[in-house]
Amino acid sequence: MKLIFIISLICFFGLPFTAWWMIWIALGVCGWFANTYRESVGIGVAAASLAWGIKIGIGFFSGGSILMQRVADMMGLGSPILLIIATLVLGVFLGGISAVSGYQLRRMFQPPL
Amino acid sequence: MTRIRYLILPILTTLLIWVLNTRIGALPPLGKFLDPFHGYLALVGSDDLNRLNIETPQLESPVTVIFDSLRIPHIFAENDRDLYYVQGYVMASERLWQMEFQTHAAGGRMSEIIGEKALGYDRFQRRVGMKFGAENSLNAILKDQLLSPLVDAFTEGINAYISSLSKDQYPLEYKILDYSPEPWTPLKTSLLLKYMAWMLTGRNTELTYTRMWNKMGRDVVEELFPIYPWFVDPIIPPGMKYDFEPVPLDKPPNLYQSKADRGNILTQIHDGIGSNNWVVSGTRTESGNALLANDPHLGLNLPSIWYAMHLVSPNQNVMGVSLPGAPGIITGFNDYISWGVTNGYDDVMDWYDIQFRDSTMTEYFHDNTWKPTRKVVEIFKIRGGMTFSDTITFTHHGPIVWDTPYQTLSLGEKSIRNSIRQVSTGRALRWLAHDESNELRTFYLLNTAENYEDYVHALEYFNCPGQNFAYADVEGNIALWHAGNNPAKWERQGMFISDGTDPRYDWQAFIPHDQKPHIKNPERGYIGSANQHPTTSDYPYFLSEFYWASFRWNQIHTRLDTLQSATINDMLDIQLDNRSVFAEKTMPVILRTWKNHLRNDLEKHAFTILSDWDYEMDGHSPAPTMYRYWYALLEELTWEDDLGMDNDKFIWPYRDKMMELILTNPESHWFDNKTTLQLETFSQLSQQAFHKMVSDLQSNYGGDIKTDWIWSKYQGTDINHVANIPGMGVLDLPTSGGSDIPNATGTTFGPSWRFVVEMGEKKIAYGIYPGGQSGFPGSIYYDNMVDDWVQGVAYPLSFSDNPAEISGLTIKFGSGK
Repeated sequence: MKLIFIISLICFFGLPFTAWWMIWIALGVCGWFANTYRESVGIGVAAASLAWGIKIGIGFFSGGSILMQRVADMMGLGSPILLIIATLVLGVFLGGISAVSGYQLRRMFQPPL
Repeated sequence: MTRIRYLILPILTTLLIWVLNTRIGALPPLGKFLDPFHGYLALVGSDDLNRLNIETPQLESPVTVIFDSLRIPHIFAENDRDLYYVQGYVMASERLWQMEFQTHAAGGRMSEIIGEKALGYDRFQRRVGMKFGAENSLNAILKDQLLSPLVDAFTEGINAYISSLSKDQYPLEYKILDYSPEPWTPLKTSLLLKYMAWMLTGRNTELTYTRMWNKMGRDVVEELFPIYPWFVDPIIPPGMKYDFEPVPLDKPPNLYQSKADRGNILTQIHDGIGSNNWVVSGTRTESGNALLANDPHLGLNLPSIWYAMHLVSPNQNVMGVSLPGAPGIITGFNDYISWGVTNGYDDVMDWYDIQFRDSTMTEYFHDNTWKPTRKVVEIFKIRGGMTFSDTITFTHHGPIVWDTPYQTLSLGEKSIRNSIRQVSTGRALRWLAHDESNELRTFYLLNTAENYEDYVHALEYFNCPGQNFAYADVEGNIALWHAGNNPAKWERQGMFISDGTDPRYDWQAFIPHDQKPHIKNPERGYIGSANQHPTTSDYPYFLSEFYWASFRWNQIHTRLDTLQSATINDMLDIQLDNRSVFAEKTMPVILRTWKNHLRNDLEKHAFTILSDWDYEMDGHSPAPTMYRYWYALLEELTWEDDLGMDNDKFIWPYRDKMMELILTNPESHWFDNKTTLQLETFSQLSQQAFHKMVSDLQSNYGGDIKTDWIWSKYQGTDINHVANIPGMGVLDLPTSGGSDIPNATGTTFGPSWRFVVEMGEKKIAYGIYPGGQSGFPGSIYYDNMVDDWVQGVAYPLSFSDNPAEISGLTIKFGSGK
């Protein structure tokens, strides 16, 4: 749990200074060090949802609701809540598969005993 | 081998991330766009004005900017150079994407953003000479020792803002369309002015008139499209003496008749773009001060075409609206004078049949000799890395826009504005906007003008698009000049396709400045224009075969005539006037044709409502819906059998011709339907249209006339995003008004800026436009003025050369010295 929290913090504060896809590489690296498949999924999903979720929340509550409504309309979703859900689903999904990808890569080089 | 399977998911994940980093079709790159750290959410708070604090050695002295409650910037600088630098910086901070997008569109560079599907549009823009004209005008600006440094300062200001942005801070539309801003250049400013020239003069009817001549005879064209229609209320009132010696012109004895058989697309003229302006002398106002009112009617978009600003330096104290991308104020007022513009509608776009020596198009015949053409290769960059080159042939007239038959389709049929599409292959375009010109000088001189002489001098530099500049000053003078560098033409020159071999069809001279239509301090105490004829037929030059009908001006004129002590509120009220002069004049006759032919209760109800109608195009009333629907049907019944359905044969006559026929010749053969055996008159067509109108409106909208058929539901107004991005516009606005009435609000066009000023010692000014100062769709200032605009509210404008008298958020721009 502590590990996930630390990873999320690193992602949250580090991401603004890197390319948007760096989070998925970082979570892939975390997945590499996971002990089990389930742990890798947990790390990826939890870290991505924490980092993206907090940032989305800050955006929404610091005056982003008009923008979110317009973007939701542009994407045919109609509601900022649906946009937030869709964004979180995307983030969580990418977080999960990135971490599992890292875990799988390690297994390729280092099969479990 | 089994371990290889562990590679599948990482590869798929990488591929997915790549896909999410790539724009597909109209969708933004979803991963990049939705990522809350770098995508659209990174822009939350980007409209916070406090971010604008800068220190730059590019400023000679500190500059103060105060943003008032409408977010209008009041810029106080110690010299003009600093003033324009900060104007560029502030403008870019609010409207950067719009500024750049419009100039990409004008210069034929949309393929760089959108990809190959915009190539046809881009080729048309270059072939019609937008870039050619912008480069020529840029030469004039660069040669101007007064303007050139100011344009440079404006450019530097914009670029300083662009440089201050990180990628995450690029405006929303860059993220949606997935591209980056590039450095601003003075050429972009010049392109923006050509974009306006195209919007306001890119209209011509040569092919359709020529075809009509060939099919039906020239007398028919002259009957249906008279130069001076039956109902004209000109800008310069009758009685003006034009006692000057006009420029002598060499006129051919017989008008050249082109074959005009190769055109492929014809369209009706869009009736919406136009404007009103008027000035009232102090002798007719309550305060004794002159009043000026202006409402330019343009296509309505978000971000708005206008950006309100107040510019102060030791040389000027001027307020009004600017065009995002151009320095200075376009329409507004200063300490001494005020001015407002309406489109002049002169014909400054002519087409010439060219006789080439052979298919290589390297030589053409003109003035009894073979002359060389000039070939220009235009390169188009297409998103994704490809390039395309197009060779354009130029004659001395101008570019050959279409080289091959049916090239219109490959030039992006849908993207080409309606009326230009008509002129087909092998013809050269002579367009005033191609010429070297310096409209920016006009605006600078107007911004700094102190009296009538300064105003007249400023207009001398105005080339294209020709405008009616109304004027009122603190001395109580009022005036109006029909400005623009119009060619001196003999009667009907350029109305039909011209002979490109004969120099008598060339533009032989331009109208000298002092011979342009103008008027100062007329006895009646007011002057105005609404895109109608500038003069009576006494004026010695031929200016155009088309102006908008005088209906709008006639109503404004009637209202002004009744005012002996006009106030600023009267001016605002006239801007919102919804009375249809056309309906007022024709409705009594129309009602008589229906009276004894009512078939059912619904028709009787409709008849009663229209009988009681006050001719106001009120959004809450069903009468305007019935009236306009009926009129559209009447037009179809009248013209379709003679001239074809709207897009495929000939243009239909304008509303003023129909009014003439209804009121003076209801038995006209034009009302007879050629496809039937009996002889129809106006009365019969009017009844047919009435029955169909009631039945159509009932089927389409329901049977409760008073609620289902109201005008704002039927017409309404949509303000779409400039790039038509869904969700970024404001739709279904319950507006009143319509084309051909003073409050010319339509479905997608309308008063783009309502502005009134009283020119006393202390200026009292009101203004509003349907949008907001911020170009950022996430800002409350993106569309905050729209609802009040719909309601007809106008805001008082704060104006003073003393920053202490302007309240708002103060931002300091330091010089670093």
